[in-house]
Amino acid sequence: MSLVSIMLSESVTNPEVVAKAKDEVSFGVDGFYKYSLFGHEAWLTTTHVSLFIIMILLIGFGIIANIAIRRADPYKKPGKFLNVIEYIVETFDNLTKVNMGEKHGYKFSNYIGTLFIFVLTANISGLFGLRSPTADYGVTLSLALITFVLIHYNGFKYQKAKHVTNLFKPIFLSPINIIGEIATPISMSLRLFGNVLSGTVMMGLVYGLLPWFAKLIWPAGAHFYFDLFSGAIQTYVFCMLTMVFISNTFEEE
Amino acid sequence: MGNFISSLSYKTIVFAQELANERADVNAPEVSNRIFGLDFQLIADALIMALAIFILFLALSYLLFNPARELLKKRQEKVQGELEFSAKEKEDAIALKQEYEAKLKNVSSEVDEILSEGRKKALKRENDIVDEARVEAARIIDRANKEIELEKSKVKDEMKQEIVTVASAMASKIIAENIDSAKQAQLVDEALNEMGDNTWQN
Repeated sequence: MSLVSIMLSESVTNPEVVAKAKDEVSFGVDGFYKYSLFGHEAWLTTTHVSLFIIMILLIGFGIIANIAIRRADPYKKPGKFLNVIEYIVETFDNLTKVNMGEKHGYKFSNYIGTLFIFVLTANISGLFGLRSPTADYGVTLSLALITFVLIHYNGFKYQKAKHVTNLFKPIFLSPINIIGEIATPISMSLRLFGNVLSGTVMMGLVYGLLPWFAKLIWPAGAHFYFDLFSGAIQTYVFCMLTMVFISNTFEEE
Repeated sequence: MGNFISSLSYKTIVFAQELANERADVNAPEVSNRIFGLDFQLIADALIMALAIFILFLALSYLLFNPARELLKKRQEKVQGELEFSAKEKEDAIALKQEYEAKLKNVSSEVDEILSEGRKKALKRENDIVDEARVEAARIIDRANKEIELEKSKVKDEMKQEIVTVASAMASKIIAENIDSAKQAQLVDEALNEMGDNTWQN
């Protein structure tokens, strides 16, 4: 039973606790629409609502930026908004160039940029009353698995068979190497998930357990730390790790 | 021993049944205040997220990153072109400046040359003029001298004639007082005789 309780969410193993907690504090994910996928039932949850809102926002920003770029004359001084767009794009270009090298870095600029913008927006969405999508393990696991796939795709692309044989280089370290490779997506996803979830839980406790007069001004500071500071740092760490792990595969030994 | 095995197998079956019940429950209750679970919901969430990030990646690449990069590239090329153009212009300007400076240096030496040549010419012309004047003066003096000589001889002739006229007038007066017609006839004859034919021929 203990294994089962670890494996399954609390709502499954102990519904009474959840029902009780629901009246007081809420920082979990709630489902609102049941659908069927491959014969299994799954739920659309608050995560997906936040995800949808964030995607609409980002794509909207992309469309506005696109209009601004199309209207802009490249031979004239750029306006303020265009400056911001150019700054963002140049920053990601430079970031990937510095961390992944001049040769291959630019190819990943778009993905790293998308990842960074999405994770940052998701992390700070707590400020706007949404439940951060990154506080759901389904989101962070997915992002980490994409990184994992990118690592090994590029590994096989640039190192060919050596990508596998390098795991057994000092033969007595091969178990550690293999575990290390498998642990990469797990550690990345859990790091992001845990950090954002802890912020969400803390804010949920602050808003759920305190009387109204005790949550007047100071939660702004907590928001600043848990949403902005921690969110930005975790975004940076996630993107940095993605870049470093991928660029490691470029080294052709 | 057999008893133990049978009890173990029984316990296993019970546990499996419990597990199956739990598994059945996985999908049964609605997702409420869920925090973490390794179940089908996680797989479905991960799939949705993968799709979402892929769509976002395509959309932002198409809308934001690629056009912005193109814009930056265009501007960079333009700035590069302008820089190269201005560098070329500067080179040209420097070359022109050097050329003009060299010309200016040459100009001063040319001016010197022209001036010295002018001076030489002027000097030569001065000498020529002076020489010409000298020659002219000499000629004028010469002509004046000649004219003086001519005048002198003319005056001499006139004086001779005057003297002759006066002398002849005085002589005729003296002769008129002292001579008669006989004597005159005699004298004329004498004179005619003296002259002879030779005198007329000369």
